[in-house]
Amino acid sequence: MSDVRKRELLQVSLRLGLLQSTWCDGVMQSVGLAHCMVPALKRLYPTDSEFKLAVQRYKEPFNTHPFVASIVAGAAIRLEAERHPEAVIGTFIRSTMGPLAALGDPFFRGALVPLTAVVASFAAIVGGPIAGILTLLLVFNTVHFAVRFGGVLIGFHEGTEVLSRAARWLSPTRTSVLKKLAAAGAGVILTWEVATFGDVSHLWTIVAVGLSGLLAAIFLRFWQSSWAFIVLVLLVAGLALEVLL
Amino acid sequence: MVETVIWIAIVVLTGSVLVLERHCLGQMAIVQPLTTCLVAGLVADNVETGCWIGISLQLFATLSGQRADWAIAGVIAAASLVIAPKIGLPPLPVGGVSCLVIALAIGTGIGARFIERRFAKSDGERLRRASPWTQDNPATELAALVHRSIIRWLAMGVVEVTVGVGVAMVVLFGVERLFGVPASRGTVGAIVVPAVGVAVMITSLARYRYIAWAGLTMVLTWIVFL
Repeated sequence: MSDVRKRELLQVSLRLGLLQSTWCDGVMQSVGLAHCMVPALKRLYPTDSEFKLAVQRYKEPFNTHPFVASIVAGAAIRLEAERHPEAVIGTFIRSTMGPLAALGDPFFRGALVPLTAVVASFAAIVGGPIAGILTLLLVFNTVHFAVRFGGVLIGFHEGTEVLSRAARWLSPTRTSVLKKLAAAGAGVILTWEVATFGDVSHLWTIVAVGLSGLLAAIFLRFWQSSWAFIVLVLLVAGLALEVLL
Repeated sequence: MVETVIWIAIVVLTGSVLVLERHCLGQMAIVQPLTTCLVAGLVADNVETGCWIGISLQLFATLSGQRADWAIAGVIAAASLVIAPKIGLPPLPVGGVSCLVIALAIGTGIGARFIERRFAKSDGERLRRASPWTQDNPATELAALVHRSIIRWLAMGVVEVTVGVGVAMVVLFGVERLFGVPASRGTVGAIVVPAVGVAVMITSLARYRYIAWAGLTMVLTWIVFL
């Protein structure tokens, strides 16, 4: 286990940034994952034949949330370092990617991204552009980089037990709290943007836009599959109204 | 004229490098619509519009399901904000014609996602024919694959940003010449577009009770602050 140094773990973490660059149908993130694992595998398997066999373990289809892939990579390095059989490593990777994606997707895409958008938008309106930029980058990337870089280290130290730690980090309870905060922030930003970009002197403006916003949210829930086109139509309709009025 | 061409080249090239981040590094950790549009607002000395476009696009970008490439959309909107005054158009206002810029940026984002899916399909077929894992030197083969795809995404970024910004500028010129849409602030679009963004964002939270949360804080904010 001590064969792998921090240097190799750091190299794996850095290469994880390229995980999505080779995403394709069929094997999905496998090329990216195999490319990430190369520094650690080269260290663990110095001979060419051993290294080739080790790399081939990563040709099976692999797909998870890109940020939490670091946890799988770290734990897989630990299993490689402990010289577990090929079947054990393969089964671990295949059985972890699904639950991690199920934890990572709602946490990052479903909760952290909306919360960050609301907080940064509010910071931009109240504190100016620099405050908006800094808030967005700091809030999102503190969590993102902690998981991406910390994930490899924690995965390596905890091995197969890492899933329970990841479940605590990205727990559904925590995700739900972030979503509630994002929803609460959405109400604040809705009122604030009317006051900032519109005419706040009429009470009806705020009430009408606020209610329309909430009704639009209910409406969009039914047509999620084609929402992008609905938004495009709304934007053009907004411009047409502007010209007519 | 020379200065304009230099500006366009700088903005398009910077945008192309920035959209590379959607596949590499953080996957939209840095290049998010709000950051690009706020920076563009500072560069173009049009902070209010930058803020308005950035907030609107950032809120649209929160909806789950990846139907549009928001890095591209953000970069195209930001580039339009900088380039428009350089080629003789009035500075983009809050609302009004800026609604069109947002619509075109989202349209290009949807197109970019479509192209990405086509590449994913052809790449998958190529990998099935020649597996890099079974080559004599798999590490070199895998690295070559990754490097080739980075270069391809960079080239695609140049094409997508150039086309997106070009179409946006042509449409803005056309709208100005044909309809004479003023560059002044448009109240309807200014309020409606971010409000739709907030609606989209609430929708991404997936449960109706979150809409109730938003409604409650909306009323409280109005009572307490306004």
